Amino acid sequence: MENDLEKIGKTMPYTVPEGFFDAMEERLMQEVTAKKKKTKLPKVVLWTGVAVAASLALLMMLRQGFSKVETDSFEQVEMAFNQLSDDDQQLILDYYDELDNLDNY
Amino acid sequence: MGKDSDIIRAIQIKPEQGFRLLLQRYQQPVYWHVRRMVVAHADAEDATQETFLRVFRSFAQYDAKQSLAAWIFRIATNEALRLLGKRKGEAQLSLDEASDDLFNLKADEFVEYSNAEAVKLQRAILTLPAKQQIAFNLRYYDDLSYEEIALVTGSTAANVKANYHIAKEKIVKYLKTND
Repeated sequence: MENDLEKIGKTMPYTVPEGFFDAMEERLMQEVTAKKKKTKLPKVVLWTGVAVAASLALLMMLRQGFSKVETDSFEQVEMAFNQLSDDDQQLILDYYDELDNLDNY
Repeated sequence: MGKDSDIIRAIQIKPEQGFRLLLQRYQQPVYWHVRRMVVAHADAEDATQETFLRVFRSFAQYDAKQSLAAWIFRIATNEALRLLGKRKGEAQLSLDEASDDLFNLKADEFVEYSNAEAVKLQRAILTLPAKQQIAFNLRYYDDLSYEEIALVTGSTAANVKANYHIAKEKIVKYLKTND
């Protein structure tokens, strides 16, 4: 289903200048050392048919505009999810647990 | 690289040494988290620096019963939104207000456009609504638990989980259809 995503994995197209993280760490340490003089640091699925159906129900509620990636905001999903019964919510969560556990999902 | 409990204890005993441990553990994850939001390296650098200065200054407010990662990523997310808001002329965008037109893959000498597949994945992620994008990134790249992500986004673990999977499906679909 998601071979493309698996193929890319966590690779990102972004880079940083050489030695960037070491330099930033030292800069930050200097900053906090200087500030310390002024401010004292604080002490401080089961794959059951019902589960799939419940999941589909959530997707159906989001169906409008689903083909567009930029729709289905966090709040829309949240609203649709909250409208489901407790049982259906739990089924979906179980279903997603199963997906989380499947390496190939 | 220290565990969170070791880092917290170290900060309480020797703040500067503890802070260095915290930087060694969180500097890169935070930078990449912010970078995925703001895209440009210079902006990510600014927001990351501000994040850690804020972490240092406000460590007294951190509740050690809660996840340190979630607390730091929440501050980082707010810093990134503040920076994006500044670019847009507002004080700070909220997660709910942030619109995806801010999240464009801008030309930057530190973006490897030759890695077409990775660029495409970032484009797919950047088309998601901001809050969903953050939920996806924190789970996919940073392996945060749904509970921790909920602390970052101000939601519930269940809703984060639902959003993560919806986001993932949208990304897979985008990757398949946008060549």
